[in-house]
Amino acid sequence: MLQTRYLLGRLRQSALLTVLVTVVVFGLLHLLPGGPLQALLGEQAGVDPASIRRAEELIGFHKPLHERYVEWVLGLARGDFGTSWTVAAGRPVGGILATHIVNTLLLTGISTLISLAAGLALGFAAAVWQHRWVDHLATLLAVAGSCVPAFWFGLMLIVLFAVNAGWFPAGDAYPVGKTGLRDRVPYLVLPVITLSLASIASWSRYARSSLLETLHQDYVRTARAKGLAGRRVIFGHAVPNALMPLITIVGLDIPHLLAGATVTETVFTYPGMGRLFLTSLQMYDWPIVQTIALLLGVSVVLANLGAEVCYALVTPQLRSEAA
Amino acid sequence: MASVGIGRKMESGRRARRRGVLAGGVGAAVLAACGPAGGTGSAGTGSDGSAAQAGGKRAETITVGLLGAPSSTLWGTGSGNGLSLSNALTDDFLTIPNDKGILIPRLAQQVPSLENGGAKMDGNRLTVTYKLRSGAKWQDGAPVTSKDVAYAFELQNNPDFPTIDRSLLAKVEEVRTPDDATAVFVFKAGQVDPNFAWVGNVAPKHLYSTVPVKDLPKSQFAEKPVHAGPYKLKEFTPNVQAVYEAFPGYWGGAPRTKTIVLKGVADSNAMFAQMRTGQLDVTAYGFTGMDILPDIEGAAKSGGLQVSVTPSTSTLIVALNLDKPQFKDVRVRQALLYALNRPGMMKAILHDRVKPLNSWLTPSIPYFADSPASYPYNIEKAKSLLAEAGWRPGAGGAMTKDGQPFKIAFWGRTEDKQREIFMQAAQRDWKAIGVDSEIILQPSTQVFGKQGSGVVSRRDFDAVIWQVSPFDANGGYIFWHGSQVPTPERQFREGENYFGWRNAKADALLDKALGTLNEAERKTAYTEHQKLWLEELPALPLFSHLLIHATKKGIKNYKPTNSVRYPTTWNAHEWELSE
Repeated sequence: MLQTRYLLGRLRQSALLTVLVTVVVFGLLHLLPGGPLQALLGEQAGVDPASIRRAEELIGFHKPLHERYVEWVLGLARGDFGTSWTVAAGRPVGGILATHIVNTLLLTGISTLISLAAGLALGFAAAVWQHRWVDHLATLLAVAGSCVPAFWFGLMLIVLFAVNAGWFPAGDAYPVGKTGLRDRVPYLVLPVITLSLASIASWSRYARSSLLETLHQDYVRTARAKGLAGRRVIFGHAVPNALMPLITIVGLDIPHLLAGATVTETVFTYPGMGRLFLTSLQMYDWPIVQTIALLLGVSVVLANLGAEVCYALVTPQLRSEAA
Repeated sequence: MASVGIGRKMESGRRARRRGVLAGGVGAAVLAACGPAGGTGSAGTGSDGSAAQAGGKRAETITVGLLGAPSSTLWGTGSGNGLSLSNALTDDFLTIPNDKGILIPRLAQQVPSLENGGAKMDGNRLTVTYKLRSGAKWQDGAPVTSKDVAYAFELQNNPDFPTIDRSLLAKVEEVRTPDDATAVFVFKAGQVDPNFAWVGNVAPKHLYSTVPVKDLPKSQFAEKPVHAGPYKLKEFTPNVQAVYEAFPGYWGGAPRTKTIVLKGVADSNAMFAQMRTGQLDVTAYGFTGMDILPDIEGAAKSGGLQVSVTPSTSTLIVALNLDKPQFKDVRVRQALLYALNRPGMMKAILHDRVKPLNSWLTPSIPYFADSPASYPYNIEKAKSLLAEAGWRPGAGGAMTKDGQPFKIAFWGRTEDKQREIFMQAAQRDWKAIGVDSEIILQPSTQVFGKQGSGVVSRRDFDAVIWQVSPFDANGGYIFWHGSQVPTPERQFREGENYFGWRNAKADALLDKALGTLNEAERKTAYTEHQKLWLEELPALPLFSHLLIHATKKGIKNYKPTNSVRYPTTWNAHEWELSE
């Protein structure tokens, strides 16, 4: 009963947050001075003023702001994200996003899995062999991975392995007309490495500190005192408990799976959500920008809600606090 | 909804030029510093891996890289280079400009002119006649007729059709179709235009007229345009690429290459890398800054690439607001140009690949009048002119007049780093003659927003650095004619003479240039106008941009145009790639 009340409260908060997200996303874009057509025409000379006015009418910019907002939200409720203005003039935003989200999920999904595996392995190894060469190496790699900018690292990979060695393509997601997974693999290698570097670095540090903290717990000392083998103590008792806080951290990174990796996708001309977002911003395609921003905002809200639900289900203290 | 589209068949490359280079010039330099492009592995092989694999064979696919994928593939319903290139593949036009910018006939049998009788003056009324080529057909098999020409005119005049510039169309009274093969454009009495041969277009009436004009961008014809060009759209992935396959029924014969791909690339560095790995066969307007040219040429020397550099219609100028007190005296404007070390700028920023410009036209425009010796870098001359204009050095050497210091609010856009470097150079040069300038960088909308939304259009600036093609603005009329100064009374909505240049003699020369169909008279008028412009200096000319094209060796018949307004795919049906 208490748990249900607690969850309903969290749901209400999330719904309110979602509405706020729509207001902020819409408001920020539409309060920009000048309007998209003005921005788009930029320095071009000889533009017919009547054409500008008519184009503004066609995209609804002659209507008051609140009317445009209501129309947009009603469209969202119907699953209509609007039509693209410039990136793919006249085409539904939903369709454009669909092609890009697949590419992004592949890139960020693979990168997340690799980062998790490598980051945890490196972090746990560093914790188990604390102050040994493995630990020093892991620390060095983590610092390097955190410091190296993705755009520079990506460019270096392109120079070394695409331009010079010719082992991988310098960009794109797949060859023309071939979108099968096997065809995509060579195109994913360099972007995945670029994207994974920073994640491996940060997650390895989390894993190291989490396992170190666990290894100093009484129950681990007890397990050792009982004569359990070191490997069994680590993998049977310490690692499962050390993973708990990491699950939260990784869970909160899930929205980034959808948002894409703008820098990496741009360096590698990878047609994912991040690059689409950047292109849409550059081309003043607000329906696409709004939708991606909203998607990201809502996924953050949902990820937080998911975390709250998990806490409520597994943590007795939360139940009592909620009461 | 459609974005703002094109009213004529050509499209500006503004957006392509606008694109920033994410990693600056570092990437290109690093790429160039490495050795020659290695052979790419199977994954990196260009053009779907099928391009010219066997020696001497003709490749089935040519992949064209451009900054930003086509935004649309339907004529008139988008903007940018991508659409322009796409249109020249799928569509065909009555006439089209070739690599020299000269109109050649396509669906029309000839380019109408006074000499060949295609254009005639009947009293004070101009008529332009297009005779259609026999055998031309739409890609659904229907014949191209004069009704399609009349329909295209009707379409472009429809307020729901996003035509940007209707200045030429507005001069036409009606389009007559005496028979299926003849379309006659009758101009309004007393209205002539030197660009009359550009007035005609075609659109498939039997298809497009079945859809309300405002719904065309969302129609099946946006998904699969049907036109009369050498290629048909096979696949369009927004923001990624468009794939075209040859249309065997093309009136000019089956295209030589089976598939053409227009592929969007994020920036010049990525473009360069993909050229070197063989993923691209051709780049179209991909290299936006001269800073990358030495790197490309270095790579070309190593083999595998060929590079061509062509002049463009685009200029970089410092526009001055002549209504500001400090610029009213022509000697001051001249002093500011004398003070600019333009050759030094060209050398330091543009690798000495361009020369200072001394006109508002560029060498790629036939009416360009060269004045190479004008305004050489001369600090003393600049100071002397300022002194003649009453400016005296005050404290710290800063020029003052009537107790007021000489200050310039110098505007630029944040998105263009190269322009910012030019601004810094100009600021330094003007400082040397005691003129202080404050560089103000703002997003493009704040600077160039139309109809009073930017400082330029509401004329609230002293000076602004501007990349612009003044000739595109109705032959310079909208830019330089005294009647075209935007005013608050007209809500800054009409005219783009933001400089506030009002000169009766210059106006008369422009009127003459645009009001005559005699080519020699027009050239003379433009020459005199440029001379006057150079004396008066409503803007300070810096240089004219060059267009850089790189292709794989083995490309045949690729003839890049001399302007971003003209699609370089104009003769794509003749392209072939062999190794």
